[in-house]
Amino acid sequence: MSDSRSPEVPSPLREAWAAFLRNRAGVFGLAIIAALIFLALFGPLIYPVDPFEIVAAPLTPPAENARVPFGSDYLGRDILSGIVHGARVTLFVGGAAAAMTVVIGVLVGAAAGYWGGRTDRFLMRMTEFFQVLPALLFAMALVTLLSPSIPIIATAIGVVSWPAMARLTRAEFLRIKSQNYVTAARSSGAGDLYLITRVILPNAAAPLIVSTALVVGMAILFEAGLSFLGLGDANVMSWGLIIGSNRDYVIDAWWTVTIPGLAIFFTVLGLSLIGDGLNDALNPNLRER
Amino acid sequence: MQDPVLKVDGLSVTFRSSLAILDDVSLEVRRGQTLGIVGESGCGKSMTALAIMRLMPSAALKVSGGDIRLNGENLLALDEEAMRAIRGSRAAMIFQDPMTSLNPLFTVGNQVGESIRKNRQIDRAEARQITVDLLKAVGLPDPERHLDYYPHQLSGGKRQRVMIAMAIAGNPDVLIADEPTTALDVTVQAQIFQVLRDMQAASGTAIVLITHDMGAISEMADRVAVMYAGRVVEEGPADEILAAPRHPYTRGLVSCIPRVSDEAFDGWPELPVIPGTVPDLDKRGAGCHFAPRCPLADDRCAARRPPVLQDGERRCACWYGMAGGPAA
Repeated sequence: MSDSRSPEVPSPLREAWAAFLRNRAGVFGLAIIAALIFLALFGPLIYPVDPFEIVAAPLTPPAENARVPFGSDYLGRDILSGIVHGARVTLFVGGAAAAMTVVIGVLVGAAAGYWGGRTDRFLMRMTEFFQVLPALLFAMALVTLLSPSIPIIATAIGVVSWPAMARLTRAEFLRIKSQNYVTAARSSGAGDLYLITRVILPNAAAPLIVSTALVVGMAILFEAGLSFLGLGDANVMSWGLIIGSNRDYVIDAWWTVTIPGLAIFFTVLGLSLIGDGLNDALNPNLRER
Repeated sequence: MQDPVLKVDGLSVTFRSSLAILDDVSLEVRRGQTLGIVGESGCGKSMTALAIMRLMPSAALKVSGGDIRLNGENLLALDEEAMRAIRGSRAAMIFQDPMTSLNPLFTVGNQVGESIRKNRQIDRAEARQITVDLLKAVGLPDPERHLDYYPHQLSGGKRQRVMIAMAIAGNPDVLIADEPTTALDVTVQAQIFQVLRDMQAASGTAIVLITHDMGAISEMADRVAVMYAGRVVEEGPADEILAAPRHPYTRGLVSCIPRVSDEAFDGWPELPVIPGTVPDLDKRGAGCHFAPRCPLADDRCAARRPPVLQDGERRCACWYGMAGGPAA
């Protein structure tokens, strides 16, 4: 290594960010999600129509009435307003469910992979128990038993989706645990907590970050599915609720489900593209030179 | 004579309580001295080091006998918490492959600084200053600049210097160096040995140098222990053993050292090799483990374990060894 090298050396994160920016699909995904976040934060201020207010004739097609540019639903409510106001709920459910998935999954997976032995066997049997539960039925049961409110829905999604994250974390921990730098850190007196949080987890972060992006997308789809089945929170506007409440009119009023469906589609697409871009950026073996 | 800093007495390690990985290994090293441990791959050299640090890589490996004393304190009797306090402060270790022994995600300054802060209650600025001093002590040029480098930006020799800096950060009583130069080229090896010698002269740290290179032994070690198949077969002052090896295995190792001499250039005599390989764990008999490869071996060698004969500073475990043997 030459000594004339400039002292400004990129950190691994900065390098990954630069690689991500070279990935066009990933940047496109990031643009979609950035727009969605903007919509969720400021949309209701810019377009303050109440999504539950009846503002036009029922099932007005798009572009017919200037008051409802995206058309109206079976009660005459503004679909554009539903999209704008529902963005917040959609993002919240996706984010909260993903956060829960990551917290439970990483804790369980890290403990199982790090300590191994009996701890591993117990935690993995527990993980498998949750994994073989039919996810949709379990979430439906949970929501029905408790209440169909947004926090409960997010919790239900988190509960059914953490096992995959736990298994991924465990696999990464098993792989990294036997690396030389872990033994070296241990030989210099590092304790369990230090090894887990400062040595192993940072090196396991790349696939976990990627799958977190995908979990957000999956959680949004899941919420839409629950709403479609009528298990959403009927008092809070969400994209799934628009689709669910108009499902009897699909044949006559395509826009009532197509427009919120496209919103969900682009959101999940954006998250997947981000996940893909992150995967390429964080995995130097896949990075294009 | 002062007491040894590290004294390993009759250490045995078994795999699944049946196969002997280490068998009655006894070693000692004094302050300011270097003990070399030599032997082929699979002889238990690294396992001895990991057993001393209580870092056995698998739960199936258990110490089944003997004791390990660091300044008189029995390490095997300590709980994990007490052992953790000893690692890095009183006993430290550096590893064979500097390319993979540093955490790839953190800068040099961060990693050395953390190893300092683990043992001392100081803030980051102080740790940074000590880090710079340490990196200077291990001969890293322009240490301030190297603080912000990531491991992948350093050469193998520089990374091994960083590893040494981390290991000596806690000013250990004993430093175990497990083949510290195997992955490096020869000129860098000489530099790393110089760093270790300078460090030892300054601090009096005892060094256990694990290697398969007899040249490294002659350069570094005061005493040498020759290991074969989990046992110490010969031990004593390094210069005596290199000059007059008694165990047939040691003789084989010494005769395998390439020498550049006048006669080596005419006729290119073949470098001798010891035929065969170290026997597998489950194929080690009751007698001398070296017997299948030994030119002197007879039925007694294969059947009965050779006695350890003490002769002044030297000991040797061979039925023929101490007297010089028939083929001496």
